[in-house]
Amino acid sequence: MKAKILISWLVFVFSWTSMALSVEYRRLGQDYRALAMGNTGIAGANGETSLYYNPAALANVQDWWVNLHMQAIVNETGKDLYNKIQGGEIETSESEDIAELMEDYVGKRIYVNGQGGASLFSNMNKKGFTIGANYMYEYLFDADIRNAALPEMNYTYRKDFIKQAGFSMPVGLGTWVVGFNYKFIERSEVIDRYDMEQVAEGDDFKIDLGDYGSSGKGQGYDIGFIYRHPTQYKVQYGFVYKSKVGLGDATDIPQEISIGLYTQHQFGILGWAFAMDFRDLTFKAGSDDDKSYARRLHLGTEIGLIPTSDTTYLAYGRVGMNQGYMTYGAEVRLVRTLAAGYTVYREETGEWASHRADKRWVYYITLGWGF
Amino acid sequence: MKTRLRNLVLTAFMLIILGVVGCKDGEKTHDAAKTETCKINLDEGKWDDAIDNCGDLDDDEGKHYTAQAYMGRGGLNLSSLISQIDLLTVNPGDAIYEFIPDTTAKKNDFRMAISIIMKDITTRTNLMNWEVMLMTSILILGELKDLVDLSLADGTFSTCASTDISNCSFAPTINTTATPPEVNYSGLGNSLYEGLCDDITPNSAVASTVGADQGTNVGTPTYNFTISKCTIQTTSLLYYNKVAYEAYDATTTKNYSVLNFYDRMDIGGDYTVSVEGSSDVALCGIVDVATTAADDLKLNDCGMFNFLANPGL
Repeated sequence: MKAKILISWLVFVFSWTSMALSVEYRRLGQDYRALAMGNTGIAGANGETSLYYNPAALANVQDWWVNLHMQAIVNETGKDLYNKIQGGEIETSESEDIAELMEDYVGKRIYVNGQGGASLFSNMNKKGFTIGANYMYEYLFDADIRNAALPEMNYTYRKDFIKQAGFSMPVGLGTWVVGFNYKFIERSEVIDRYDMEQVAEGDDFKIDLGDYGSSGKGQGYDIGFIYRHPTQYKVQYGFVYKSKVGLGDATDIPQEISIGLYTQHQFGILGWAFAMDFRDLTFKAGSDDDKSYARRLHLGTEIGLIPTSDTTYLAYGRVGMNQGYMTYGAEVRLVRTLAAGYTVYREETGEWASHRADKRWVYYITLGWGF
Repeated sequence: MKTRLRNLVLTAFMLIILGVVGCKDGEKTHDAAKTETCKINLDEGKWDDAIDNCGDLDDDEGKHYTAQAYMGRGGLNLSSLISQIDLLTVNPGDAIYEFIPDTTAKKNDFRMAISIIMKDITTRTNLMNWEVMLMTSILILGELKDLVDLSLADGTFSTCASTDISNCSFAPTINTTATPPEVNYSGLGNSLYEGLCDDITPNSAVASTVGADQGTNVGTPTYNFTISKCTIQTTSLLYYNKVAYEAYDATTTKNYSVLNFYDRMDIGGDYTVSVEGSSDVALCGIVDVATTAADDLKLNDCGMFNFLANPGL
């Protein structure tokens, strides 16, 4: 009966279609595992991702450990440009060079994102009382080159420094878990346009954060809950409220309210997990008129092979759906010591789910020490 | 256990299928959706689609995209312009010669783009002024192309007037077989002034002077002249060229004054032309047709001859 109700609700949700506008939903700390699983994580995040998706999900962490992580996200044009720059095929010193680059890549987007940081987690009692802290730098270069007649490049170059700490705590008999996360963010960015007027005037390409950037500092917090449904199906339901973070002259981070569910099961040497999120319930992401439900719906599943601990497997395969596009990824993990892998996903950069996709690759590596 | 596994797998499978089926939006038609569709059409060079989709937008940004779609369809593109960008400020004729529209349809596309920017857009940006300077220059050059046998060879620009304006088909000629001899000039023609001034009823002054003392001085020619002229309308190429140049705010050392065709054309004055077999002729003075002054929004053949002798191309 409950399954029928759940399925009926899902049919209702999925049958919605709505309008969407051409602004990418930028979020800090988008994680390789979450992205491979359709960018889900509200109820199923583990590790450092909990501090970015839902602090109550810290309860999924069962160990103590410290880890260093590095992640790069790049799209096809970004990879192509990187190879050409390495090979000395691209010049950017003159305005005409920039114009030639714009001509070659009109209609395409250059996306490069790099993250690096350290995290500490400590599970206190195996029942969901966990503390965590994360320290991370994130760099982003995103340039959208449009208009074959007279090309223009709208670009963002951004540096974020994030410090955050949080905890999760079981309430009552442990069916409910509450989480809280406090974060401090420093941001510097250049958001500008380079068009034919700049080419005609021989203007410099403004990329230096010191000379042309806007910056700001801000603080915010997240409050999350997870309800661990006490049945054999082991479904967890998550909810998180993320406060807005004002960042002075730089772009603010909007408020976000999200919900999700997650279930995880063991079948011999196989582990299986499924997650579904509905993010940004109050439609703060994107442009003002963006009310697309399809862009906010996320699904994902994960298969783990050969358990190496209570919570880790030697290898993972993941598949999901993010904003109407398929995602997938693979990972090899030696408990908490070393993990490496990749994810492939598409981000919606157009007006509605499935309008204008940008395909991206995520490469990551983590080194950790458990206690 | 098996039942549980089966139920889990079936449920998850159903959810995934539902998700795949349900999680895509259909095409949307609100303003921002139209803007993005318009931009995608421009990215792909689908000019007709871009004109249709961008044309539905009411804001300045949408109108500008529409104008750029017309530019694209008219043949203006970046690939050739980039390599000529420095030449634009030195020798614009060489830089923009290849963009001169070769069909009436393309000329109309350029004119539509100019009209949208100059008449429909509420607040013009510097880029828009630059675009209008460029397009009006290209079209003005196109108006002159056939008249002065404009050609570009090995980077060298030439006209029929490069050495002597008498080499041009429109130069005054003398008919020495007539008695008395006749110096004839039929004017640069209404078509040129319609194109430059948007003056659909350009005036012309037909004048002639009979040589004095025909009976005893058969060497004094008769001058049969048609002096074409126009008033530069506010919807014309030259006027838009003038306005765009004056509004363009150059921020660096690049000098686009060579694209200011208006300043080089509306210079007024008379022009003395040599006619083989006759004495030099002051084109307007000889037939007592008033010359125009510089920057008075009026053109006639006498001032145009001054421009054609030194076009700055």
